[in-house]
Amino acid sequence: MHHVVHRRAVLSAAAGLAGAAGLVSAAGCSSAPRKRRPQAAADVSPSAEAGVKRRGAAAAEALVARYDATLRAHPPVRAAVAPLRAEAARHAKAFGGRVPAATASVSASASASASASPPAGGGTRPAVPADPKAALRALASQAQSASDARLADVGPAGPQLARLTASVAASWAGHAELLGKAAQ
Amino acid sequence: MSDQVVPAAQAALAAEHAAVYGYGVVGGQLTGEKKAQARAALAAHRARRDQLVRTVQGLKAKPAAAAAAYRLPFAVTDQASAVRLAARLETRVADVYGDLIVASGGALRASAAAALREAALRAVQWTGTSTAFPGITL
Repeated sequence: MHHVVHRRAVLSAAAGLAGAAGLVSAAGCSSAPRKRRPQAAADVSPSAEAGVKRRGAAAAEALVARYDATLRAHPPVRAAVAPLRAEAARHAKAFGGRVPAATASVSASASASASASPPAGGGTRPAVPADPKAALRALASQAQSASDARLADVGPAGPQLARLTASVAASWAGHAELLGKAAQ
Repeated sequence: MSDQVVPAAQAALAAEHAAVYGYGVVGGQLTGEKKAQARAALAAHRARRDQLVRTVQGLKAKPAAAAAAYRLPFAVTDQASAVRLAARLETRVADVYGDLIVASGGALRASAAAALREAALRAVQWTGTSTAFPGITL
């Protein structure tokens, strides 16, 4: 795993510093044996790992369901919401979850037909505010809460799942930002 | 599993040094609200840099020093290129924190995860576009 911290530099140091290796050369990469440090990645129990995955999948599925409900109720928000919905579906899959296929372009009769279709994620259909801007604000708020919960869940995960969990938390913070902007 | 926490923390520190340098360049090309945004980002990167210096010291290593100057990936000559560099800085910083999360545990991992989210959020603020998996390069 030594390569992981060496494969990129934010900016390369100007010529003269440590040659072409650039910035990360300063990190050094001694392969001398080290004793376990308290801040190093610890061993993870399989059940803890499974719990992080399950919670991540459930949160992503719930977010997709909320995005879908909002898209059904407010077709004009599609340009803002559909790309985020697609990302949340990728998040659900990355955690081993499942989401329904994205709905096709919403027609004028969408809200009528949508009410007859089963709710995404198998749960109760999320309530969507009648006002489109309020609906976007509600989505932003859910994305932010979901982001906070993922961020708080990186501890029990193994190294790769911890990075995935933090990444999804970061992505959802971006969702909240963009949805908030779209609501203005 | 080998202990990669020191090199990963050093790489994150080096990335923050570079971001602090880069935002100096970025800020010079911006005005108004965007300049304020760059100033806030610079302050955030300085704070993370200082935190990482303490982290590395706490791990009994010598903190990576900043370079005197850095090569920019492209010329920054106007607002558009400055915003592009800011977004690039944040994206790369997020990647390095992703590596630190993998290498670390406990409080350091939690802090790296928060830093990843902050950097990714600033990238979104600069670009206006979402990313599915910030901090993970495949």
